[in-house]
Amino acid sequence: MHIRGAAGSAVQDLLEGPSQRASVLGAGPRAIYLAVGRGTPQRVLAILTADAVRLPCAVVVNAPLPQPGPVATVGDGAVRWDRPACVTITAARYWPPARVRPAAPRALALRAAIDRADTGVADDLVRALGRRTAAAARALLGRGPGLTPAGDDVLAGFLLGARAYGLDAGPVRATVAATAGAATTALSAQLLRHALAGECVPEVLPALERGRPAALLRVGHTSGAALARGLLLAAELSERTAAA
Amino acid sequence: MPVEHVETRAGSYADSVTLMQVSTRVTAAAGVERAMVAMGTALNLDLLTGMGFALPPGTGPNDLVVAVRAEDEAALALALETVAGALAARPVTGSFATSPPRTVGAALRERDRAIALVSVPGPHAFAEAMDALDADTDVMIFSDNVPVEQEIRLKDVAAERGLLVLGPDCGTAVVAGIGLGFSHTLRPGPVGIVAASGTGAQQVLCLLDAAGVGVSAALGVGGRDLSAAVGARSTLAAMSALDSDPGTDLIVVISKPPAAAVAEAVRAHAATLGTPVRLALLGPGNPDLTAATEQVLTDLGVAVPDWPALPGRPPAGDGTALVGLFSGGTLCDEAMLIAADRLGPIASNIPLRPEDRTDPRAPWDGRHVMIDFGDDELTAGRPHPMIDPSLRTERLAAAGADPRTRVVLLDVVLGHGAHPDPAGELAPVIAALDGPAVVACVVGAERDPQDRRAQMRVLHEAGAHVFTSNAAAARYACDLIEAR
Repeated sequence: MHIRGAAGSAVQDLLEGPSQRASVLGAGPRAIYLAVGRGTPQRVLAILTADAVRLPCAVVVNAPLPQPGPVATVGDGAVRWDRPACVTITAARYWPPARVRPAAPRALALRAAIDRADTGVADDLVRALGRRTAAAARALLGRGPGLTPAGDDVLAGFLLGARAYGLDAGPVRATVAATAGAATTALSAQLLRHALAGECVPEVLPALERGRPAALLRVGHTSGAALARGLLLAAELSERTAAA
Repeated sequence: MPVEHVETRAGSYADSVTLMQVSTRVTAAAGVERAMVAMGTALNLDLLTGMGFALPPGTGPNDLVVAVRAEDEAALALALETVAGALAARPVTGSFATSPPRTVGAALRERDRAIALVSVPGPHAFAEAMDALDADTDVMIFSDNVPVEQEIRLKDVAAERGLLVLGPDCGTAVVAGIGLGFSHTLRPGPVGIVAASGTGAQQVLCLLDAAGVGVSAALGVGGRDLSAAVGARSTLAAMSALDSDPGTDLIVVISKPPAAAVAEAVRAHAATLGTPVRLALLGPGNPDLTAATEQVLTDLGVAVPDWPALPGRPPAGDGTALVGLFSGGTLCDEAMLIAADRLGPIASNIPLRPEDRTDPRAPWDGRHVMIDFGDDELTAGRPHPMIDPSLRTERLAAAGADPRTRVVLLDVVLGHGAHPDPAGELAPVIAALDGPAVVACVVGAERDPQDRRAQMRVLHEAGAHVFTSNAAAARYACDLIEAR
């Protein structure tokens, strides 16, 4: 079976580079997550259906996802596996991932919209991140039980907001860059690296630029709300900094 | 004696909420002292160690850890069954699925600028369109069969709120450079179109394209908008919208001739606008769509080109009749206006005069006839002939084999939404005819997906005379009838 997809340019080097072994981190009807190679930190490539939230590290295919085998290869132009059936997934084109641009913070609108949303993280930990210390970042990295722990989502939202609003994130950036690979799941660490580079899921942009988080809040069970909470923190801090 | 179970599962991902629910359910099970099911991130491993669990060496962040302490083996077995059941039963949507909005209004409220396209069966279109207007959004209604009183109500609400209603039965539009419905690949440019006629607008747009002139917008207002009942509500609003668009240098209004009072209202409104307005009203004594387009080009100071055309095979045999087989209603109307002037009455399912009405399914009596295959009567329960031309192709074969036929006149409409290769469908049938001549007008833009030049060439090679101006095609068909 040959499936043609459209891939984020963030994974172009993986797809077109030399072939590497990949292991399946997890799979569902809309997503297959592959950990590629043996490097540290480990890169993650997601294979997503068109209706899934578009992660920057994804190949989006317009077809039902095939069942992944235990072992796959990524590189030489394709994702391939031989069992349970022969599957080749190639990128017919590449799309640029959504990126944050400089924007004015909209704390009031964000606060009103995400007031009651469940973020999955205790609010004192989020407020502590406002001090922008390495300890506050470490307290959130990998916090939460799931695929992308909610603490990481808050950190990602904060990093994206700080970048867009021109806020100095202090030691938070360095801490995430240095320790995410070991402290949290491979997928979550991958998404944090994208956040450090200003790359995000497209649903972040209306929240960040216009204070409209409705689409973001529908992402995942709590992931979107946690990202929005991080954005709000960055917006509040940068408004306060501007006022001072 | 308490018993403890810790296992790690690689490749077993689940989202936060699911895992929290699993932990909660297992902890609540009878005989369970402590339990946690979580990914093995550093913080979670600390929590597990703090709860007194001994973790296997090498447990890492990509492992799912299941840790349970129960009061005895029986309770532990039950708890592990609960874990297995809960993980198996989890909705496998993954953490990054979204739930799509369920109403038009919900979909629109998070967007700054949008247009809603409503294409549900006519009786249900009103509610969806009103939902869009309530979300402060312009709406295009592709649906037909919307009751006229609902159309008026929607357009009144839109007027109160400074919004636009395109349609109902709006088959084509160009908004912000994006084609909606049946549409062409057009370049941006200075002409803004307001059209109560879908294929009429398509003809003008494609001729402008052939002359190298692009459009700022094309706003379809629905075939009834210039009726006495609707009173040009959307036409006037669309004219105002284009007047305030700095990218529009000239507004063209395309319609069949409206009621006198409505025509007067449109003219009066045009006089109040800063942007010049050219009316292209298709009717007896008025310029055809090609002539109207040529006036527009002259207004813009653009040279009128020779409209692309390719010659075909002359008619043979003793046939005398003109048979027009159309997929576009306005193109059929235009051809009838031209032919009636030269050849006398034309029978049709959409006749110019009621007495020329003919049943399109009845056997042909040998008169000049033009059928609109896009009329509701022939599209009930089947796709529009621009999408599925099979009914018309059958009729072409039948008319071509009938010795009474001298000329068959066709329109071939290209663009997004239309059949991917209409010329390829028609060519074998045309090539097989040995009596009548075939005259075809290809309505398409240079960069349409079907490749207009290639489509013209295929028809030409099959023996058809090929035009890009529907009026020129109709005149040429009349020439062939009169030359006998």
